[in-house]
Amino acid sequence: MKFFTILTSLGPTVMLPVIITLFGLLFRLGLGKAFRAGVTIGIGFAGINIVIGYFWGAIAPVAEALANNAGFELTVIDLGWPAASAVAWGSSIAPLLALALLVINFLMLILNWTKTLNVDIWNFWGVMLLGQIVYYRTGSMVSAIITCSVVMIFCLIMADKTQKLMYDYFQIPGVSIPHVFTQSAGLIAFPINWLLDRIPVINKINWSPGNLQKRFGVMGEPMMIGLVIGAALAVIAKMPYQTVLLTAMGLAVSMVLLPKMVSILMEGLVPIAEAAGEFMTKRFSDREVHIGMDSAIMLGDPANLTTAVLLIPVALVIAAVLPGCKTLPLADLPAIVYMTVVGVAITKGNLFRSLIIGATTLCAVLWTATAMSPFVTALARQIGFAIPEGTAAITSFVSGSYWFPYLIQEVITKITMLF
Amino acid sequence: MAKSYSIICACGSSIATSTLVASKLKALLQENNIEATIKKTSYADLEKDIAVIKPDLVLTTTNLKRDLGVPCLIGIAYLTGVGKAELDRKILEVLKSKA
Repeated sequence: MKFFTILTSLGPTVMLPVIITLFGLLFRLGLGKAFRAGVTIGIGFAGINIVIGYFWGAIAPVAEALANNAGFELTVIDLGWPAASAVAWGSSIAPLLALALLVINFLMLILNWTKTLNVDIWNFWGVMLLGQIVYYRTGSMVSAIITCSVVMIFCLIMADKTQKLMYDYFQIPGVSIPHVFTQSAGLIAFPINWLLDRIPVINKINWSPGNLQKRFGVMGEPMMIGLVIGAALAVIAKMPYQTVLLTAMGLAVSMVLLPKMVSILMEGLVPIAEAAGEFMTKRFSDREVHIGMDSAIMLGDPANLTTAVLLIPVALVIAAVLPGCKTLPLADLPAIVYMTVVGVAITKGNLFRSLIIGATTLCAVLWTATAMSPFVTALARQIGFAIPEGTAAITSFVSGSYWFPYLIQEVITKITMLF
Repeated sequence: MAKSYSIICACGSSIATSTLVASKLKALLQENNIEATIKKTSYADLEKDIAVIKPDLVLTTTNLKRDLGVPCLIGIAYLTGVGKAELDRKILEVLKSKA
């Protein structure tokens, strides 16, 4: 036990290789493969930490100046979902929570409560992060596991319920989407679309993406988003031109390098995710299931890509004017594309409607991202991310799209605190 | 010496699904003794990368519904496991035609 305490104190770069090796052995990966996976994840983690330190140096002074010189109280900096995923997978309780999620899916299938066989192990992190927030706030492992379980049940049920809708529009057979962010963001799409159907004149408007996508193609590049937004923020914050140039490059560097680092972490996770997926698939090969996937397989739709790019400036404007929002959307701006999938499917690619749905969703997303920021910041510091103590906090802006599971977390935390 | 191919695996952010697909692709290439450089990228960067690398094949994890000017296959079978053999065959076919 003392060994594990020491190990944890050395941080994820040392701890992860050991824990992931053990986790890999559990899924009968073989020592060599499991160890390689563990070390790769440790390397990815170290890389993420290095880039975050850089990112912070480039953006923190500007966020501060934005508040002091321009009156924008956007002190919660969006480090992006890749960083949040590293926080989730880097936690010492991650393997336990991941196992719990596998067990829940297993039980739901045996009891015939779902048709979705979720092999998208990587995206367990979104659910695990909620469990880690509960654990951080209450110290109760039981409550953390209950939270993860309830959220996973929500994801699986929503995956079943939206399976036909998604198939009708995206035409990908045999899959459903138990992706926590997608399904939670989608909850807003249904009522808004229902409403739009009932407003005369408005319900006739139908925009198709057409050639818009080609025209906006270059705007969606993370490199360009980083340059433009970095420069714009520094100008609004009334910084000298040297700082404008430095911030523009600083943000571009981070937007390009951060995903590369996280993809190294992912490379380490692949053999384990595959082994866990195969383990599940083998046991349910005799019946009809929908394979649970990341909504990434639907992103390529032209209406979805166009909606997402158009929502990038909208997100910044909403963040500036929305009362109670302290989140400055940055690293996750290219990831809006994951948030819009269900809205696009419901409206059958109607750009007008998916933009209205997207803008509404953004409000919920920004509030949730702001609400979760103290806990994300604390968890990130706990695993040794280079975030200096100070007034500023971090969050993952697009992860705020799980406003509903976040409420589940809030309720379970409050109930736990009663005891 | 055998030709070395260049292949791009693309997904939403060049992190998750493209890494899964690239891992399956690497295994297939190794089995068939095919040498190739695999680059992972995101859809936002895809067209720029195609222009620079001029790949022999692009594997996406979604249906982009447009012509990229290079051979393009959808790699979802590598994620779900359904239709994997068929995708294996198609990939080898494209590479053979490029030899």
